[in-house]
Amino acid sequence: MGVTSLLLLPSLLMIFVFLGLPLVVIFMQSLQDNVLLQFTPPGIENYKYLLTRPYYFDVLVRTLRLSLLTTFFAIPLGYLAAMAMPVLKGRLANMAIMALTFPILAGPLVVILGWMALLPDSGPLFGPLVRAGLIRPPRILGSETAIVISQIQFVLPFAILTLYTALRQIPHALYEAAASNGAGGLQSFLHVTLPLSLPGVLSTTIIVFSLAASSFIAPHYLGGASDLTLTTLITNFVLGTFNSPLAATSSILLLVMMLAAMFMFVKLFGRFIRP
Amino acid sequence: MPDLKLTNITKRFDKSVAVDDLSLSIEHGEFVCLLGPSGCGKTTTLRMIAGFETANSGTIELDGMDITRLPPQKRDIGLVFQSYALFPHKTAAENVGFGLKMRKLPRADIDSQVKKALDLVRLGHVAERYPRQMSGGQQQRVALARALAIRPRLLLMDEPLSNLDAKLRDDMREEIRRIQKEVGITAIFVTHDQAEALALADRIAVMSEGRLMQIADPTSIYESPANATVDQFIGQVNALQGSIANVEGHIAHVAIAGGRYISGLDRQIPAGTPVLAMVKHERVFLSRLQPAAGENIFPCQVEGRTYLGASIVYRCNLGDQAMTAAVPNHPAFEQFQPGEAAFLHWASADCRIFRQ
Amino acid sequence: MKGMKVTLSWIYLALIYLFILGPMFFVLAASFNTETSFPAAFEGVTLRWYARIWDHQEFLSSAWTSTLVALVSSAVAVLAAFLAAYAISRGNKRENAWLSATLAAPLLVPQVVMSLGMLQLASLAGMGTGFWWLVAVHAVHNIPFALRLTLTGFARFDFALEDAATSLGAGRWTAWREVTIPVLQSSIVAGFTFCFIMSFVNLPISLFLADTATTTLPVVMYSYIESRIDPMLAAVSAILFVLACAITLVLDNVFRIRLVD
Repeated sequence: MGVTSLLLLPSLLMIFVFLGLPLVVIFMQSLQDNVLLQFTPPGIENYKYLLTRPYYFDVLVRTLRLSLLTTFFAIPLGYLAAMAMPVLKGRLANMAIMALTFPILAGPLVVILGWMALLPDSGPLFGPLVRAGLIRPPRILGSETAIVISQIQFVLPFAILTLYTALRQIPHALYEAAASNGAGGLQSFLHVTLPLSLPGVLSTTIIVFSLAASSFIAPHYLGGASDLTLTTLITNFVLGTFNSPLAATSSILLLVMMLAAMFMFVKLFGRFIRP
Repeated sequence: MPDLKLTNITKRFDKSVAVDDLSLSIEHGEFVCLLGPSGCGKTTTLRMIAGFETANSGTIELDGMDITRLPPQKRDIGLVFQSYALFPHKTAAENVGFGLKMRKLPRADIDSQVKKALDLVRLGHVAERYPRQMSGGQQQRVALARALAIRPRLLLMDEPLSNLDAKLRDDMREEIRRIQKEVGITAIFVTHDQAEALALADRIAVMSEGRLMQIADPTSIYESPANATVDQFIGQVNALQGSIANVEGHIAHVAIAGGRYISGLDRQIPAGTPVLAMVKHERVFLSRLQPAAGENIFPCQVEGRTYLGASIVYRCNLGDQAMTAAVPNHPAFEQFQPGEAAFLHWASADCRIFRQ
Repeated sequence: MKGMKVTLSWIYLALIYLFILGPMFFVLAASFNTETSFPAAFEGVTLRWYARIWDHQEFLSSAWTSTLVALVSSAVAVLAAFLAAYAISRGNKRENAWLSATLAAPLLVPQVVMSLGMLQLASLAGMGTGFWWLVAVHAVHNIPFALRLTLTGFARFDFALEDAATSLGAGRWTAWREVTIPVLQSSIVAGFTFCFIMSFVNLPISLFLADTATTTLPVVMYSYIESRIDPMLAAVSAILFVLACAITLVLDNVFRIRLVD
């Protein structure tokens, strides 16, 4: 027992050194002065600065909005897909599960390239309609809508995989028990499926929200120049203006926002989850 | 000299005591069953003998050698697991030969000993099959062959039959006993199934809550249990609460509820002591006519009847007491219906008295 | 009624898969398009964009760098995750909230933030980042994935197998080599493959931490896109996509990996 627990050390050590320590460094950096703001460190001027400028505050609000919207659409879409999955049998079912990993494994750049081909007003999706005069150019590319659409597509495979696992863990006998007690399809869903899958929904919500809030490539390529999110803002501070303390401050803001959202999800779902 | 000797073994997990001051010695060639309900410490005892757990105190000796702290791979003890634990990526022959390979035996020796071991369990023909290509019974026998192939000093079996269906279980029981005798090996068999223990064992060690309750041959365990716990665990038993009224020779009289007296074998318990009087279900007779003479004759009302095929079990009401009688399903015995009046009676020799 | 439910399920799933996989088929199509701009209407079939990749040395050399980073970081991640999964499964621990939160943390902390932290750590230590920094962060980021896959393997692993090996005379390490690792082989392979690909296609970490000697393929693609997008990039993407599909199918056929049990 004691010796076996030691095997956890490599993972924990790696996480502490290459994740924990950098987070501490980021926090220290966020309290430092920089080319933009002169003060005697440590101080919270960077936070004041980012939170009081409407431009930066909007970035925070936009990140939250886009991530919440993504989560809001991805969870029901994924839940329905996970519920529909059992119609696929045998090899086909396994293929379908495997296919979900294709976009994850091909990488976000490849997926984004696909949306860049699809979404222009002249692209294969809207082009024919626009040319036929049926719709006005929708100007989706370069808007928040494009970001949300691609983020939903990016997180859906994760959502379906985790929700499908959660739904499969509900013993089939419970549905039979519900049916033998006279529950119809809807009642069986409301009294068996939904309550028992809630822990799975909660963890999926957390995963989906963090993936959306962390996503960097979608807002970078599909959003307009003004549609910055916290991740692209961080990238701009690092690669554009070389302002390390403000990049650190934005990172801490992003982490705090994510933690707050997770806390909210746990509170929200926790009330309905039976032990 | 005993083959295996456990002296004052105690094992604690966190705060709970799994095995409490257990002493046990087993003679060479003996087949001993460790019997008890789940959580009684029998599996922990087995795992300590095998070396997977280390006792907090006490010693374990094998052939006069202290093995208490010897690692399991150096003990030369064969083990058969409840889940069989056959290596799924190795054939039956490779499974059986694993221990010999670990001992770095030459290839030819391994092959001949594997063949011998598989022949012993009558499975020479499945040598090249993988575990998932074999039936449960076959897997069980390969597991036994694997444990025996290393010519162990001791064979340990942890509920090895519990994953088999009833019919196969009976066959395997015979098979295990035959092989154990043929090889002449000392064996310890852990089970919670009393029928299995009674059928297999030279001696049964009954455990409860980490303690050894009694170790004796099956007849003694069944007919003269050392205490109320053993009596209650083996077979079906009526337990009547009361207190010793007086003693006459070998017979003690116990006052029970309703002003009745019953008699049983005296255990030199002083008068007035609260006791339990125990009679096995099948030693209680039920008749319509009042028996002419004898002890422990009580009028009763039959309240329930359960048909078990080989026997019929009647629940009877004595007024303040309920008792159960198991009557053989045979034309020589009377049959009753619920509601009938009848007489219960049993011999004093079949009634054991224990302190509460 | 039941038939309609099944039909609706099929239609819904078809739409969802179209949504998830559709965009990538446009990339595939564009990579064969004779038209030189991207995006563009389909004009005709050509393989010249694939041929052109060979003229761009930076794509080839960066693919090699990506391979090295992915190999080393996945090996580290899988080894660490395997040991952790062993401890968690064998220890049969009650759900320890802190432990699982810590082990899942790399999944929840944005990669941009992780890499920024490492970047600042490096500058604090007065060091330049490079190959080993990339490897470290990729490995840490992949630990939760590798752990997930190895834990699924251990969930079906009977630890009595190890006890059996030990009782037959195998030491701890021999029991691992002869029994534990071979039985869990497919989970280990699956974990390694997933980590490898995740690391190979990773952009945010490499973008921050790569130096000029360790530019990975996604970083090269990123800087290429910054200047222009042409069908050659679609060809590179198509190769990545096809490789991802092929590897998944091989895993399915050869190793019978199940993502859900």
